[in-house]
Amino acid sequence: MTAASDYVVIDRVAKTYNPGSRQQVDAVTATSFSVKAGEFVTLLGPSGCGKSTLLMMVAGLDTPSTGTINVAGQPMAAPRAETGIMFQDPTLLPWKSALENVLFPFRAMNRPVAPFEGRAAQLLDQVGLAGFHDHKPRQLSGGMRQRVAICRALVYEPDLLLMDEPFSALDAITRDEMNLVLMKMWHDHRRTALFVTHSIREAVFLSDRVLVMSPRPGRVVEDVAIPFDRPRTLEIGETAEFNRICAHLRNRISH
Amino acid sequence: MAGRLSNSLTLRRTVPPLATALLLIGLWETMSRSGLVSPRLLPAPTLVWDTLQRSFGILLEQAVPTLTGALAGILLAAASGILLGIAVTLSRTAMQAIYPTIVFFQLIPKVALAPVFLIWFGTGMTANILFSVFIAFFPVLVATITGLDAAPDNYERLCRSLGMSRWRSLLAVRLPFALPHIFSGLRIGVTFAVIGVVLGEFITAQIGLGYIILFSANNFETALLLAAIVLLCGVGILLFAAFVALEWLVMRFYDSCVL
Repeated sequence: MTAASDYVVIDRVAKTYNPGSRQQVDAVTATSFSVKAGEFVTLLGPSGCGKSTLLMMVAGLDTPSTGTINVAGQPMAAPRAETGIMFQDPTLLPWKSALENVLFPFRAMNRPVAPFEGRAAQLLDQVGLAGFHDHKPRQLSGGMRQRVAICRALVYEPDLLLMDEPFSALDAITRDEMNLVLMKMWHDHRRTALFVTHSIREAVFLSDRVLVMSPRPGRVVEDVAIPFDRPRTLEIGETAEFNRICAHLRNRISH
Repeated sequence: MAGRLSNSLTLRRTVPPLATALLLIGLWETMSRSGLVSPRLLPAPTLVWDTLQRSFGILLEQAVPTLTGALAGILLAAASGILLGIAVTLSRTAMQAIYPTIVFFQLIPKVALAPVFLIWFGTGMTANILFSVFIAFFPVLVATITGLDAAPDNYERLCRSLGMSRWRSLLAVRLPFALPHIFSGLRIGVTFAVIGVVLGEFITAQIGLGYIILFSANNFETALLLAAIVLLCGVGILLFAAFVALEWLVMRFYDSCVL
């Protein structure tokens, strides 16, 4: 049933919080989908539909109530060292420089840092932060901080990149910029990516496939392939096809 | 230009409070000298100053046990408060077992327990120091618990996703986030520690500036009493300044390196 190239396989996963109690919440109801190696897939849905819960389960930070999650052929039990993660907030350490923040995963994993300083610096240059390596997060703008967070998620060369609405706190112009930065980084580093957003245009711009989720309890109700060639530019947002796909997705979310 | 600007800023910051203080002291002096207030009740500042100079040797000698007592008190309170705060944060069971008791103890008017310390630990420095610890401990503990909970949830997720142990993430992430809280708890704790020692000295009545204050009040030596209070303020300011300096050093240390 699942192809060999499926990298992330979600099989009839459901999540219920506080089962049996009055506060019982069915966050995700039995849902299945898979992500191929090297594919960029977005979970799109209204807020509170359980898409972040699903992402946290793929990260191994939460466990499904029923069903199984396989990543790289292994059932998920605990967080894997080969997964990079981004949150809605940059989650940088305020007392560390941008470069030290990018290097933080090595410190966390108890690995020597020196051999990776060059790579960390190079990543910062790639996201347009040359000259800001020694700046503290408070000296950077919101968009710049999320750029540092992208570098931190990529620096240890994970094979899977999980992103939980990473740009939703940014203004529209910065968000467009960040989408381009993320596209470029994903193109250069080619990881399997699972992205969560409630922005339809962002989902269409970034993804190979968009999975539409129903309101809570969430499940995947439609799987839409996005046909645009890569590398993409912001101009594809003006095309009729882009807007047709967006309209279709909007329609699916509200029904 | 910039120098003149910062100069005028310094002037604007220092002149008004100094002027207020001088005005109050001047008012006090005239009230006492004119006989409006009896000098026995409120001796003039110049008289207090004279007494301070004349009795400086004795006062300084008695300031030493007060200073060392308060220092020992806040250091022990800091160590126990921070360690217990960490333990309580790390273990949900410890939190449930200990926290209600802690809150209960905090609600007791602690001054009421000072005589109990006299019964338990005698009239020596030990009772004063332990009472000081008892009073200064709670603000440090509560600040530590609040501070260790200050890092937003995603930091905990980040640490777990990177496979960090609880201890490591505590040291590398949660503790630095907690430091500003812990230090504000310590700043309150320092003033509490001085109060604790002085209260202990009131009750044990053997040594220290607290004892001098009690003694001179009993003998109606108001000038000596006020001189002792001046020195006590000095003790408080010294300890407070030491902790502000420590905070600056620790924050700089975390800002520049580690983990």
